[in-house]
Amino acid sequence: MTCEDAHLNMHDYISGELAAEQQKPLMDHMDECPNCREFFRQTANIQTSMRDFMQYEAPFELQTAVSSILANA
Amino acid sequence: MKSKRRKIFEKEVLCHLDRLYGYAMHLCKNGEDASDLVQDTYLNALKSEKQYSIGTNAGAWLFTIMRNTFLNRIRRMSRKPASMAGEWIEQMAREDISELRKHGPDPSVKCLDNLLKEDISRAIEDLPDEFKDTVILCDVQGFSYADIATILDIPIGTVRSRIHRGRLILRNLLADWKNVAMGGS
Repeated sequence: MTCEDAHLNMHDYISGELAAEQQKPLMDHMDECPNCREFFRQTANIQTSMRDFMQYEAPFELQTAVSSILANA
Repeated sequence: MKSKRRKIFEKEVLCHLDRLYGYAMHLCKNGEDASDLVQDTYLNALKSEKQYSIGTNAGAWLFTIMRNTFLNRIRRMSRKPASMAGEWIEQMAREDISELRKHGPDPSVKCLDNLLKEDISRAIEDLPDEFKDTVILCDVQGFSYADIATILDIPIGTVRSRIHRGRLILRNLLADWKNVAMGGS
């Protein structure tokens, strides 16, 4: 596997979209390639940060309004 | 007296409220408009209730309704959605991919740990809309490529490409800022 293939596959892996049979070749490549391993770590770290930081909770007033919409329909 | 189907329907759509509010905040940029959009989304979902099959993908169905509701609102206001990718930012992704083909991934950026919420928010805001939508739906909302293709009404290959390129642009933006903050050139 080339670094370019690994790069494309790691995005799909991070998205949970990489087919099972393609995961081992990716992991084997990253075991041998510190550059790709570090790039993967950084990209996964950005995704985790996004998921942690960009979560919202609906305000109480909105929760009440939506419950009312559903109850009164 | 509500039917059993209706009770299940309400349960299935209500559990997506927080996620919908998060996506509405991304689309509207303020809490008041976001709350209005969420309520309109639920009203439109109720109108289309018969089109929804219980036990299927309520999340993707509701996000599709929200996006269409938002686009209709923009059209009514005669406002165009924010511009497509600027040439500079497209160029940024192209250069990155070109470098990648020549040399493999560049791991030299060592300063992408300990990211702050402000860094992430600012970088996402600077992404062109078509990249922003796909990256948020994938990385924040956790939708599959197939679901995102349905929500945005684009081919799945385009979803994949936009996620790859959007993440590259995000990474470059964050790396540039961090590099400057750390006194790099």
